[in-house]
Amino acid sequence: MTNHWIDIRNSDCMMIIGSNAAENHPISFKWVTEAKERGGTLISVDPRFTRTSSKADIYAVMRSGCDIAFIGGMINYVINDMEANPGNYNMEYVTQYTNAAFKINPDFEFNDGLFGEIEQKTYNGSYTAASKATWKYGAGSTPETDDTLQDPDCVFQLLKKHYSRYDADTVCNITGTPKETYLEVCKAYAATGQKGKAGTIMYAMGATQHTYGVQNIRGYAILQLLLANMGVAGGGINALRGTSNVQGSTDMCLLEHILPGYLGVPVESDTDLNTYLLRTGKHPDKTITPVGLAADTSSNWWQHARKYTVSLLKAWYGDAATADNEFAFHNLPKKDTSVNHTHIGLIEAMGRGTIKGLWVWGQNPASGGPNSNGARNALAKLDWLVSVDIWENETAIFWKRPDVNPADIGTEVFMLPAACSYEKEGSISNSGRWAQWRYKAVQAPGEAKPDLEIMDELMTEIKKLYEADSSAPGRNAITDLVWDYNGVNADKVAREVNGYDLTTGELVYLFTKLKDDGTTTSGNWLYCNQYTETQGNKMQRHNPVDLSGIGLYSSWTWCWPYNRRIIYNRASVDLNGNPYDSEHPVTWWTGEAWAPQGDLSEEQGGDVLDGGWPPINVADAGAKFLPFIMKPEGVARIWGFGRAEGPLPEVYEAWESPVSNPMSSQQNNPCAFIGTWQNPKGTTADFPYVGTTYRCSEHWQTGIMTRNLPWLVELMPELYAEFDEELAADKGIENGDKVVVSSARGECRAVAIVTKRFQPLTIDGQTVHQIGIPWHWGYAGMSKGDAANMLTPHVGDANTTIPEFKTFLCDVRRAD
Amino acid sequence: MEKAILYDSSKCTACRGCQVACKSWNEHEAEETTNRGSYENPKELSPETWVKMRFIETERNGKFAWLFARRACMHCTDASCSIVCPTGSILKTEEGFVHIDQEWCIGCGNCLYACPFDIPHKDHHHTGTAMKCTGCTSTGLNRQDAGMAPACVTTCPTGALKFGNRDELIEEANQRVADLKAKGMSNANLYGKDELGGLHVMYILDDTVEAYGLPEDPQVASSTVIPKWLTGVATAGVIAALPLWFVFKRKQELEARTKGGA
Amino acid sequence: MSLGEMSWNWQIWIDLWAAGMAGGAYLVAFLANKFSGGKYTSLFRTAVITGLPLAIIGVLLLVIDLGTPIWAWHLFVKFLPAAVMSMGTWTLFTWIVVGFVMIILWIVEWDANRNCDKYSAGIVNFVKKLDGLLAWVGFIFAILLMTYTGVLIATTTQTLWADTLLLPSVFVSSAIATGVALLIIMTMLLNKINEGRGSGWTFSEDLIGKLSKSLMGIIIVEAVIMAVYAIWLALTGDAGGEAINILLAGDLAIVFWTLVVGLGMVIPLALLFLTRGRNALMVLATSSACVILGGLALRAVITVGGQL
Repeated sequence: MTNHWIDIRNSDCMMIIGSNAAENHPISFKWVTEAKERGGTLISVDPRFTRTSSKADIYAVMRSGCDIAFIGGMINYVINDMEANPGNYNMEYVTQYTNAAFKINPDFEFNDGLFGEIEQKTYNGSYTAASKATWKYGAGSTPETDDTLQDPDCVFQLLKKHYSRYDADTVCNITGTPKETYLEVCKAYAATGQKGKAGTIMYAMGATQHTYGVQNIRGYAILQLLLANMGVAGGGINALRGTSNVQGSTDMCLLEHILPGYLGVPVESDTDLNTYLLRTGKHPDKTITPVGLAADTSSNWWQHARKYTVSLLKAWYGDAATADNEFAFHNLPKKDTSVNHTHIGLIEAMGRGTIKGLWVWGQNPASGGPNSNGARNALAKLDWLVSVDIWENETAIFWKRPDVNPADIGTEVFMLPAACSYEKEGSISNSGRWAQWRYKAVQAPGEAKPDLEIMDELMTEIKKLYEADSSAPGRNAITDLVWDYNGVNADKVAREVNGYDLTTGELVYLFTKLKDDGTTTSGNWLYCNQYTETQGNKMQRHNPVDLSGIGLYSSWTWCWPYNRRIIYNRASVDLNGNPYDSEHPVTWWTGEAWAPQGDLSEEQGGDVLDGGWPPINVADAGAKFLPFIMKPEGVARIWGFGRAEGPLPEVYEAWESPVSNPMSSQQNNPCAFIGTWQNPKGTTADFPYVGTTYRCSEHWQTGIMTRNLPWLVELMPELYAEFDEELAADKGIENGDKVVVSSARGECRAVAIVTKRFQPLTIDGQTVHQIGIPWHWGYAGMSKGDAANMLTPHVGDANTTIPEFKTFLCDVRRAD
Repeated sequence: MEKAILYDSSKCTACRGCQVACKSWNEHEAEETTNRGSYENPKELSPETWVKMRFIETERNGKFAWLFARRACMHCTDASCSIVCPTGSILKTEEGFVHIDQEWCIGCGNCLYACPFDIPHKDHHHTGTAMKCTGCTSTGLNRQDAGMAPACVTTCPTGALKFGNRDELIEEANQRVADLKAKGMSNANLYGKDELGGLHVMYILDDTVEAYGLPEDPQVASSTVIPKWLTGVATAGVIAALPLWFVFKRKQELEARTKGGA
Repeated sequence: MSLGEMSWNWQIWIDLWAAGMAGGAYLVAFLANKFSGGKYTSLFRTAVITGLPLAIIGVLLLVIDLGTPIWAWHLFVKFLPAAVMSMGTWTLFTWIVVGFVMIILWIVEWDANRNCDKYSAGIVNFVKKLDGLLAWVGFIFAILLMTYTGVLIATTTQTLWADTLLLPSVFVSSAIATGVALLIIMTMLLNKINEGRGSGWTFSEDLIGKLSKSLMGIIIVEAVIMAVYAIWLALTGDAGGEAINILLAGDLAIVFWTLVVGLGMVIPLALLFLTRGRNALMVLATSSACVILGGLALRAVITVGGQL
């Protein structure tokens, strides 16, 4: 979340799209409800009428996977309205704080769904370097701008042109939304473009889990920037994370492409530190300074990445990291860019036998990943598998699952029982980036151990093995590691993550104090300041006083970066430092200084600023800093040239879809990742309906924690599939009947919930039925059932390869 | 001081945290259930289930609507269950919450049929007594005495459940109903302010009482008990006895008269 | 209304039937005796002696139906006039005690008659007076007892039971009808047992004929009350209509029309009417048995129907 949970209450209009917040983030509705009480409007956009929709002022149905059409049409609506009624929008923000005014390479072309030349048009394609060059700013590192937004090459005009194709009729023809409802949504949400009004977009996996998931989010971002909703209270793009600490795990490098604090993972071509920083774009040379805006300086905050990387290396390798050896940069593993080892890629590699062993920690790929049947077969190709979990999950018992003969499976499986959250100490980071300390309440049962203890024992043994074997490959990467935890010590880890000044031995106060000369350490620069010499462990703070008036609660635990509760907050004030929304000011310029910041003051104040420089009109020439400090160009990107499939979101159909793309002859995202391991594609002839998966309030993820809890099983005892009455009538299915939902990859037995909450849609002249099924079940635990992911395909987003769980083709029949 | 629980249907997302919190606090077992083509479960209240959410699919102003309704003891001032209880085991706290004394209840089942809301249920398998929500005032598990709100209220994430002084909650609820009406929910109303002498669980409804499946004009079970005694006695004493009188007395008299005249 | 598990089962309807019949028999015999100037004391005594065990069986069944039978004594700790079941408990208790005391008094009277010297005249006089007084007390409690069976289930919120004022009337009229039928059977039975013996209780054909006429009248009264009850309930609204429909056309319609109406009312009425004036003992006995079974069926359909 760019903002945070409590901040939702400041919103004038909340659009929940690609999320079912009421069911999957119940506590979020505390703040949604408060916003509604203060007069806020709630919009729910969803293929299915959910418990979220039940509380919405406007419910707009949308065919699964049509976010880009839906949002594209809203962008079109806003641009048209903006030109007709510029007074209703914050044009200063759009011009000065986004790249709307930036001129793009005049060679840029968009033609029939494609943004230039591409090597392969169907899928797994990538645009040519020459094409990608046309997506960039015209004049390299000093792009020209047109603050009238009229230049035909400027982003605003390109945006207008691109989305002029997305008129309401075209959009509704794709999404199936009733036009009146759609226009109602456009009108209500566009109203947040007013100065002093804020709209928030709350999204979750419904937005991301598509072959064009990243572009869905880009669509939200563009809309929010046009409406000046970023950086303000009650605004933002708010990703409601799917599990309690998924934000923290991403921050700490759970994913294969990042190191802690979103530093890139080095690749084979990164021969030295500088090459690595240049390639990842985190380098002073990458600064872009636009010409012709009120501000003249881009802080390009990522230029400090060298300090963060060196401090990280010092934290990991200690004395072995010296200036002479580039702080042991050579010890970091370098990724082979020719292989994809995201989730789908890993499963495929196991299936093909290139990965022999698997350590699964708090994960359940046998029913949590897409194409479960394929994944389970892939697990059987492993030599060994270790499952660390608080329960015996589907992955741990995949070898004795129903319908397989354990004797046929050679994989040796180990189960390490782990302690649950109440049985261990440590911090978790919530969606709002708040790192909060949890204390141990009870002793873990039996042999269960906290993760930290398991990790410590494991690494200690691994280190011993490597130390004993002088010929082990990459030996120093292990033997050089500083590993001195000696058991469970969350406090020590928290300090180390924060980092030390090695010259004094004291905790580093903030990432601005980190150095690239090897005199500081930090396990994660973003978390620097969570633990300080004077304030101690700030994640443990529980001061319930809010001095901001907008619910920042700056002295309640701590959040990254630097306890900044609303990021990009320099965009919440005008060029003179006056808040656009005087009712909910995030900060303000007093005439001499910014308002007192965060927990640094005990008087009324605002948030910690994105950089402390004076407002643009107040600052001296040459030091007028642009507001979006993490971008090399200092402004937010309406035009985003860093993505694989193009600078603007464009409508493509899901990999499996019952309709031909009405917008262009390009059916799918040409850059989408399509897996090939046991991944058959269904046809509309066999599988005529749109399938989608989701969660319900009562269960969680693959159900391992909830399907073993009788009270929750009582509430939702069985796997169910929901669909509309018309489809049920066609198929002779009664509410409560047992049905089989099938796709090209598998079949699930479920109880039919025939409901008006799903409605047949008319898409491009044809009737489309949708079938929804929760993915909480599996063959392990107390309440058993089929895993919905047996239906989902092994295909992923072009940029992240996040799987397309949300849209696929399926069929349904009575289980006789 | 009269206390109350205020349930605001317009804020309820039917997450059912209340159902689980209730079981957790009151140490109730889970029931074995099946999916019956609905999210709703268990099917009915029971000795082990004191609160449940109802899911109602309906229409409002021509549009589909999904209403959620709490189902649990309403803690009536004029509590039928308490009136009909033959052993006087159903008691009210000073704050107005109705609870069944498990040491005195004999499990006659009368309260089950007297309740206008069908709330109490008899435990046929274990204790044999009648059970229902006590507003967390059960002996040994009394949250209210400890200064805490009932478990369902504490767990409610959206603020759809509140606990406090009844007067203040009524004031708040009236304001909320006015707000909902201003938002276009013309059927919004407060249920429970005056019903049955005033309920200690009041509902802010964003639709009609009927839409939420509640009795519009609930009556105390004993409201007509005196006329019922009288009709019964009258029937016995007069109407049914009449043929007897006719056969035994009147005939005899007639016979006597005939004989006398002869 | 849907109740997952019915809480009031066969024990309850048998009790409502048995207690009602006991009270009805008492009332009929008491009134017949009074109206006839004390001619039918033995009929009255038969009613008491027959009714007492019925009432006791009813009470035992009630206790069995409790969730915690061993705590039944809790019923006798408090007298709660507003709680119908408490009233009923005390009514039953009082009526049974009165009946027992009367029986003891009759034994004393019988003994005194046999052995004149054993008791002083004062005592005999007192016993007679007390007997007469208790008969009245028993009469009042018999009425309360019959009424209680209806008021108990009418003091609820179950539509079928509670939404009219007439359920107690229905039960009382049925109680009296079954009471008369019971007396007819008892008199015939005693006549049969004592046939040819000089001593013992026997009853005149005239009495039996009168009882049979009474039975016809009471069945007609009962039918009228039931019809009024059904119409009234249907007129109370949708819920009332639905409730009565359970009996008339719904799940219990077969039982209602065949056992309650057919067996309990139409057949006996027809038989009695066709054999009126004749000494058709078998027909009379059969009719009475039908009425008694019909009364049981009535309690059953009403008790079950109210819980559906």
